[in-house]
Amino acid sequence: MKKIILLAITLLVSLSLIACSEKEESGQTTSSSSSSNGSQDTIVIGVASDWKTLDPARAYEVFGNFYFYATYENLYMLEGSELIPKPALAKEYSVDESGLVYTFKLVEGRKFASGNPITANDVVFSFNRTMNIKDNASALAEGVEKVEAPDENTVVVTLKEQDASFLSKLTSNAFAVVDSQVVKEQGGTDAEDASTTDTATAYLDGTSAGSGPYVLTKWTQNTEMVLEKNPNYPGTVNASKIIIKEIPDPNTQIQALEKGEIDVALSVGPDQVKTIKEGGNAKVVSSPTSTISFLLMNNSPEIGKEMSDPLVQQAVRYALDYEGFKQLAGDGALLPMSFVQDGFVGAQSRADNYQNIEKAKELMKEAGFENGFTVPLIAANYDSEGLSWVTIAEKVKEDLSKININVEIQTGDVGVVIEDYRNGKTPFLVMHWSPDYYDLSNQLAFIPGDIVGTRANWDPSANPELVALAEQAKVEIDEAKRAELSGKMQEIIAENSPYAFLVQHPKSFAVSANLEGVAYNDLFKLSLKDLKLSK
Amino acid sequence: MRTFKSFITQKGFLFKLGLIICALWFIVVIFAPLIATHSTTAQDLSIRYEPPSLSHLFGTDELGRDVFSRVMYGSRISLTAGIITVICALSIGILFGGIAGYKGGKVDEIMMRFSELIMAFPPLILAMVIAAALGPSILNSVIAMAIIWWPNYARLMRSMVISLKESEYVTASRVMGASHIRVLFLEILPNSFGPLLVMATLDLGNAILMFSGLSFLGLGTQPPTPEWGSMVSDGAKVIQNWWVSTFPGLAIFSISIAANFVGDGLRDFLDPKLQKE
Repeated sequence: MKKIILLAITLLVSLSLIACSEKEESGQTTSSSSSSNGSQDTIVIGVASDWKTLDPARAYEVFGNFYFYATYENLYMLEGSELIPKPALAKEYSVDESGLVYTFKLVEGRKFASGNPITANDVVFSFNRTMNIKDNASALAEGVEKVEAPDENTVVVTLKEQDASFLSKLTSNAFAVVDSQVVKEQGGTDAEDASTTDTATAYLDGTSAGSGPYVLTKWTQNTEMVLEKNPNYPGTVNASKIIIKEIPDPNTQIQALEKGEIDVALSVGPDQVKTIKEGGNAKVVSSPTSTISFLLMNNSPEIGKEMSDPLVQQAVRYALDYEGFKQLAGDGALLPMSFVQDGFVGAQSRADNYQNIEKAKELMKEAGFENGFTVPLIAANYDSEGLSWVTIAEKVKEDLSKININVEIQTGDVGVVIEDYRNGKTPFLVMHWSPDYYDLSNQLAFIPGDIVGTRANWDPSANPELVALAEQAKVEIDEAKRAELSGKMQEIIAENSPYAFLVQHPKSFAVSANLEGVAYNDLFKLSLKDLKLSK
Repeated sequence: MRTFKSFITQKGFLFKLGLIICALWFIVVIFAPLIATHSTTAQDLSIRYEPPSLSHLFGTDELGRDVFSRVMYGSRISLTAGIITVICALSIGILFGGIAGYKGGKVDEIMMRFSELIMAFPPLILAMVIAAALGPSILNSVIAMAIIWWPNYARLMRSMVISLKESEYVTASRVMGASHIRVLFLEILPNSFGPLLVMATLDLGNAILMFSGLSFLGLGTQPPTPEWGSMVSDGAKVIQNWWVSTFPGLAIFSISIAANFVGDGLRDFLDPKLQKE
């Protein structure tokens, strides 16, 4: 009898605990909903960001430019969903015959949020500060030899060597223009010893010093960010206030959106957005990203064993069910032919019905593995745009079982897996690639001897033709010729490489049904000034 | 109504209920291939996240696999892992506690301090550390759990040995010339088996729960092995598709609570004081 009472009490207590926690949640959120629904002018965004610092000379996080595009401007910037640089603070540029000297003309009469005029000296200060501070963002500025300001409205950048991707690099926060007067007052410097003497980061983490559509008024890491309209911004800015709330759990983001507590649920995956009912107060947005999933098959016979055989590598590529991966990745997923994503110069798509089990079996027979073999497949507990790498591995296991390859999945911590991947120790691996800047040059990491090529132990001597094509593509400024080079490289890598490119992921997220002006961009996520709540 | 009330309040009802649930799960373990309606690994992307229906009793998961079949097969892994863990912990505990209690003195002192050293760590954290260091696999999580569990049995065994070794029948057999090993394992052990069995049964539920916990954290089985803890973890990211994690969760709940009922019942049954009442 006693035990039954005990059981009943336990049940009651646990039930009331659940009820309490739900109440707490709703209580917490009603306070914020009053701010979001109180005025049509405030937009609340739910994210799970990775912000570590808000100093444009240092930040190198995935969500970095989401903030910097709202508060700072560059000479050239991306617009809408496109990955082609458009003039912003600069109105035009020219390159000299050597291809090394870029001359930018600034738009006249622009002001920072502080009211200070934007001059060429601010640009020089910003670029030098990024280069000399030697933090993560500095990597993108490595190719710059020097920056000069011959007059108030002209900036001259000299490169160390020709770089066809320079304009793309210019669009990231490494080249955001800061208010040099304000930053200097707060301890900032662009001198060569900036890495030790610059003390402006603490200030920039709490207040923005740029000319973008918004200014930062409050940032509590992992909790909340508040942005308010910049009065000195000349373009149209719809919402006067943006609140960015950190909500790590995607299910909670969806719930908050459906209840009307937030207007954008940004950090959710394809499976979560599917649960949103049509006709409700939320709608789903899907847009391609430049994140691409691939399998790495180590080319070193000692490490890769059977996987290092080019015939096996090609058999794997034929055996995979690409349409299945496309489905798992969600609406809007794309199947690129090989290492160049859709949106980049010369990008090609995978042929329909590429999967060919018969051909794959023949190749396995030719390689002498007709009866198959067992291979470990490493998958980190991580995901690309909501698709778990372990799920990808389970699908690969199923596909490869059709050509008698017995895949044994080994899951691991993402830190450990990436460490082994960087050291080229992994035989067979699920990985993804997310570009640092949006240009073909970034993808050349897959070429033998380059970053990813080395990790796959793919030696430059293995394919000199490919290496030569890549060298040309790095410096070729003519778009048509570059597209041709890009196409040739894609064809080679599609047939002969230690990679199998699976799918180009879409970004799926959800916004409130009355939110307009939503366009997703892989670099800066959303253009906040374009967001507008209709009545 | 009255008969029902007297039925559920009668002594030993929960024990019987627990026994029935355990028996059902053992039947499932043995006949899983007959009960399962689908393959546990066959994927079908055209039926991802289907809610429960007649063709898929518990619905389907992310890769279109049948959750019902996976839960049924999962019982094999969870129950086996739980039972092996308890048996390992029990064996180590009996040996360790038996020697410590029988020898007494400094040997006892050193051995028991060592077991307390292990008990000083929070159990789940220690299990996680060991399982993570050894690498995720079923065997490694069983090893990790056995390592953190045996001191409980060692302490119980030691106290039983200390109280029994002075008893008359032990002295009698010593006088008749029985060796220490014979005395320990043939005289003392059978007489202390009751409490050990109760503790083992109670622990079975906890072991299954902890094993599921380790798998939930990605330290137990490797996919695509159907394991309850990892299935709950898979479903947790798509909570709106409730069936993916609810059914394996209920399976964990039912088996661990049933094991506890049985353990409680056994304790009452074996307790001479309660019997007199």
